[in-house]
Amino acid sequence: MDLSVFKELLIGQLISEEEFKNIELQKEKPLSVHWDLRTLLYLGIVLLTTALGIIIYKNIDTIGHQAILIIIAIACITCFGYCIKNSKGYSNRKIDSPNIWFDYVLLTGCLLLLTFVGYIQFEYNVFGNRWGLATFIPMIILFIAAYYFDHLGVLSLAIINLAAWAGISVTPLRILKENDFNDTNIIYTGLILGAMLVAISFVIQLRNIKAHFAFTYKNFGAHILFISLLACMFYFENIYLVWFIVLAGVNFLFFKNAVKESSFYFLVITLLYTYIALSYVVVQLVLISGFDMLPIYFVIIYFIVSGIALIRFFIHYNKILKRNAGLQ
Amino acid sequence: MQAYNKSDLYNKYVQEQAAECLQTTCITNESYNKILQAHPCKLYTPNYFIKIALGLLTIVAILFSGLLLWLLSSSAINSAAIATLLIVLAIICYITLELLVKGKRYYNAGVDNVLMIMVIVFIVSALLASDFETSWIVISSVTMVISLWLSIRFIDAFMAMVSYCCFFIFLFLVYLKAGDIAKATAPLIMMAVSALVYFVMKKFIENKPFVYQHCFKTITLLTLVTFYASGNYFIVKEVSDQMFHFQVGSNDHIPFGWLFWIFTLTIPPAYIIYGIIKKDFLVMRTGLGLITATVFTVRYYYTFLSAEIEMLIAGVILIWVSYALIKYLKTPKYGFTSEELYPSKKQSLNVEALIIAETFNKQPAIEGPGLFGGGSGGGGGATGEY
Repeated sequence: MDLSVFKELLIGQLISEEEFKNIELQKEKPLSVHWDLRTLLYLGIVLLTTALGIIIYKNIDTIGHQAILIIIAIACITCFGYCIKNSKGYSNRKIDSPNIWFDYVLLTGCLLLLTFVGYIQFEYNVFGNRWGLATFIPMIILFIAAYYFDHLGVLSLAIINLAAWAGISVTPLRILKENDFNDTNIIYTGLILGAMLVAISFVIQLRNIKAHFAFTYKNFGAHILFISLLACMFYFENIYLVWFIVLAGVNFLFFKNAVKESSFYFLVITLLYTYIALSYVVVQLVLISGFDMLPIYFVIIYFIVSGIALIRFFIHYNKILKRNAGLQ
Repeated sequence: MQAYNKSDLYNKYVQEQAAECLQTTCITNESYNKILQAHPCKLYTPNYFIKIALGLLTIVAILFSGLLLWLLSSSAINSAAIATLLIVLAIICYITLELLVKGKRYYNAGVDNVLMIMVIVFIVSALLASDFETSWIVISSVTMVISLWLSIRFIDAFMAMVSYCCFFIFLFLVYLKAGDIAKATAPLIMMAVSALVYFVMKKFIENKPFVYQHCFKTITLLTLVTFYASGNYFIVKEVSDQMFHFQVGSNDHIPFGWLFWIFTLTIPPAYIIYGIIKKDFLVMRTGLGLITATVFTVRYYYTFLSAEIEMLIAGVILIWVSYALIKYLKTPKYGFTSEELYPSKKQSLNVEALIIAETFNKQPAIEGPGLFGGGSGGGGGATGEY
């Protein structure tokens, strides 16, 4: 902090003597390396678990499957046991974790659980051909753990498992890469799943059941829903205008909600998804008459004008949202 | 020389300082509001997400404008015409930037950042596209001058970074012209240059902090990195192999190889220790990051153990050290504490959840035992999504 600035503020009587003393004292206070150490801890855990995984995988012939399964099971139970012992119990509100280890132990336990289930399915085919069960059971446990111990990371894992159970992968970097959006089944699944997650986020906020989970639900839900809607437009080429109207309607609701809640994030993603859809429609409509020069000029000018128009629109809404002073 | 009003910049600085005080609960909410009212800032800096959206849309608008211009001047097929077109585009971008900053006072608003980058991109492409045999010395010097001007005029930290990088490359290439002795001493000279710029920046930060403080800080960070990079064994060896064709195989050693090994091994710990003593987080964190670079450098030439055993050991050490430090610093010692002094915002937890989702994602239904143990360790890139 720059003391000369505050000296001037003191002279201008914008801050009191006492506050100035506070600021001076601030220099003496210890510096917090909390997040540095947490990052190192997190890195250590990632390295350790990855290394263990590779070692086990390489030595699978000498160790034997049962021994490995038993080790994983014991470790997993230990983790969950630790969490149950130290947990403060369930509450509909947010619970702060009892200590710095708690979150990591819980996370490790959940990951081991996933590994365990995957392993027995792969090696012993316990669930037979009912693949669904192999994701359904861990999903239920993950949801319970997320709610009982109040852990956003585990909740994300649970949602990913829910989506995997439904047949799509939804992590931020993989949602586009690993899903084949040329399959109507996946598109419809995405639509239903996305809508459901968004609905859940509203319900839990209304009922005040773990309301701080709402963002995670809504975030996953919104992206799945928007991408599925876009996929609908691209896939059903004959009736893309119908899907565009559906998409526009959904996005309008999201837009209203984002403005109401002063959420910059949802405002931006909603408008950008809408922009992609709109541009698709414009390009389709214009180029229907063939690839003449005139339509191409029109498309180019559309992009320039619409880009600038949307910039102005964002700036306008940035002002409105700022006035409501939402933090998120 | 700045495109912005000086009092606006000062008021912005005061606001930032006050916000910091508010977060550390030094001042009350009322005082904070009073300060904001007494120091109004007319610069336009939108919310973070809006900024990204504005940047993306600006790219769309500029690219299509370029396309339009190219189509209209349908003769632009030969390289000279394309180079001219690119320069015209750069000029248009710059004029737009000036007008927007003057009229609307955009300051880190996404639009202005993208326009600045586009000016540089167009100029460099024009140089590359033209028929003349343009050497990297010319390109780096031109880019250096333009980005320096942009960073001074629009107070942009990223442009300051670009400018420093070009300055570094330019100096290196010019120095190499001096002959064989220059080739042998280049790493040391470049280290000296980094160190010199570092101390100059330190002086600047002490003297007049408020206008260019972000620029100076980013350059300081870069000098720390370039100082290490100039002395890093891997970089010195690879650059010599590439540029001077020393005819050394991967097993041969470069002259004074031991010296560069010493640099490689000692600089990161030295940064950490210096950062801790001086309580300079920038230096300390850079040191922590560079440790990784040192580990990879050593591993590239010498393998002691198999990768997974090394990972295991590194993991155990990291967990042990961080755990011990968290316990040890629970009550503040030597001016450091492991406790969180001020509650972090809700956002960081949401981001953490997304990173976990990305790094630890697994789907049991489609995986074999090959993906064992949780965490492929390759992700963590959820930053763009939240």
